[in-house]
Amino acid sequence: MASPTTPAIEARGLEQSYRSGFLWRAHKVLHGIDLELPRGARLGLVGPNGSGKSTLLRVLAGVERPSAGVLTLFGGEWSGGELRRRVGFLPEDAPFPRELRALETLELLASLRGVAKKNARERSRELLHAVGLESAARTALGRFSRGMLRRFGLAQALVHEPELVLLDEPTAGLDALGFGVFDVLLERCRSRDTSLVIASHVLTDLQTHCDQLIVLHEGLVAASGAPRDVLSAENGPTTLEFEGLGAAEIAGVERKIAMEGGKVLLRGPSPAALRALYRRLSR
Amino acid sequence: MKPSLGLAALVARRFLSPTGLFLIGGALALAVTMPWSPSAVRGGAELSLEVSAGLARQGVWICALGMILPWFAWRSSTFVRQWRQGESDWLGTSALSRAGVAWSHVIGALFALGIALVPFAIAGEVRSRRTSPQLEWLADGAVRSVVLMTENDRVSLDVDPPAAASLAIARFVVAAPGNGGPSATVRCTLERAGSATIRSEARISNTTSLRLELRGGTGPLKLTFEPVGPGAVVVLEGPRLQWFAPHPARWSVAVSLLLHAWLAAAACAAIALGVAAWTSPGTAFLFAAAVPAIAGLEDRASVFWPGVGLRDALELAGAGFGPGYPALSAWIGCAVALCAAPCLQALARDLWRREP
Repeated sequence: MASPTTPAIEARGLEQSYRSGFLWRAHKVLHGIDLELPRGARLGLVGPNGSGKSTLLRVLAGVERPSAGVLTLFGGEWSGGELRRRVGFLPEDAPFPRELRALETLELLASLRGVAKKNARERSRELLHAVGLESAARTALGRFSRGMLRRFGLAQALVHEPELVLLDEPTAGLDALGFGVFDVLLERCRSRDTSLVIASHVLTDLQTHCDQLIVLHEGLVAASGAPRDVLSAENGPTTLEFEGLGAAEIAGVERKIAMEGGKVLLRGPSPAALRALYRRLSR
Repeated sequence: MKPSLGLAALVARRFLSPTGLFLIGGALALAVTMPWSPSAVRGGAELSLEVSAGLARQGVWICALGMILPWFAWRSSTFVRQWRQGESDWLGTSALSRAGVAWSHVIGALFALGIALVPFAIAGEVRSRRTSPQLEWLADGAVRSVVLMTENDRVSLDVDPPAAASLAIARFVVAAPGNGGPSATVRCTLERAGSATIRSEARISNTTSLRLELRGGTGPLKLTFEPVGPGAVVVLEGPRLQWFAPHPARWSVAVSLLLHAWLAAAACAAIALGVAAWTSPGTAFLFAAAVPAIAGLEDRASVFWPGVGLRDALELAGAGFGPGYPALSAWIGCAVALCAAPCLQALARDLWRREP
């Protein structure tokens, strides 16, 4: 029996390779990843395309079998059916059955993850409401837009109330309202002490929602630590988001930055402003 | 290994997708409109009501299987590709084992097959004007081929009738070769302990099937053939002697053909699903299509292949007989094929893998 202090994820020397081509040669994608995620912690994964983020998430989700290394989730064998019920996964694409309606699909996925039938419908309805898709509950997924599919993906990852949530590019394709939904859902995860792994290219997502960051490069952990420490080491451009200042005060801040030797690269309203606009329009 | 009924329902829905329904509907339309029993089929001779009805049933079922067998085998073989192309992301995170997922697919295929085949069973009865055959096949027996050259030639054969049948009809084929030449008269005698001796004489030319009715008695029986008077050579054509029961139940022909078709199609679909875990969909489909041909070559193995039973059932139906329910061996063969699919899937280590 795993104790409450057992890490949510413990990986040692995790490797993953694919065989392809005429000679069936192995191509290694992960080169020995060591990882430990305490329960309730939130980990961000960042790295260039092809660095192995999605593969690592698929291995952690149990979709792929690691070629080598040791992986335990909540102290148990990663492939155990019971453990799968404790893991939620948002894949990079939206490969859900397009012929089924949103509510039907969510109920099916909930039942596949061990939710009792009578609870599955209730939770599915509640999650669809939470992601703003309650009016599309009876629409086939094939008719969903990319953003709607993304929101549906978030709902299915949480429908069985998992203890570990793995999100692959969760905000890709989301509209401003979708960002709001995402923030609300992650807040919900935080309040339940759910462990979280987010792979994203959007640094603000990682900075806002993660307390650890891992930089993957060519299948290896190139850097790790608190997001601020990892990213500030490069001394590159910084995003500063604030509210409550008028145009004159902002101009003053810009002057101050210039005096310190810095340069403002971009100036404009944040996604929150767009969200407020949408809300006003829908009212 | 526990399957999911929700997933099975999704699989059934995919078999009966708009494309599948279009193909099945097209086959059904063809089956109910084609003239299956024109007199030209039998050289202009008048057909008996049973044979005419039998040809209609046979035509409807051949039409059904010509569309449903390839569609179900092909759709089964493409499921694994669909899993690999992304559906693994939600299938692989479910609490179901890989074999459980495959079992769900098998159950879905069986259910969809049932739905797809029932309209053809009804169409077969409608086209045959619900004319029931007078005889229903019980079992096959074996006889050796015999040639009776002269009047004094006489041959006796010991044969075992079906154990459960107290009343049965034996059917065997005799011929007077000569391509429209002289005819011959043959006398057949049936003797069995506890039963009166049954004698029958028939004038035969070319190939004729003879029937003898067995009434009561126990144990093996003795079948004697002898030419009567001067005439042509008589040949008893082995190896087949068929036993029939009279007056089959009203819906037994439709149900038995449905079961034969269901077993054969289910076995094909299961093989395609299992093999597709290891090969491309095209190869899996070809393999599923080749198995019936390979099974037909080997006599001992073929009894377990449900397709062989289906072929015989269609032949009997076309000849105006009730084909009888599938033999136990066909059920076993189908069950083995159904179990092989999840086993092959479970053994494939890279089931969920997607190439980078």
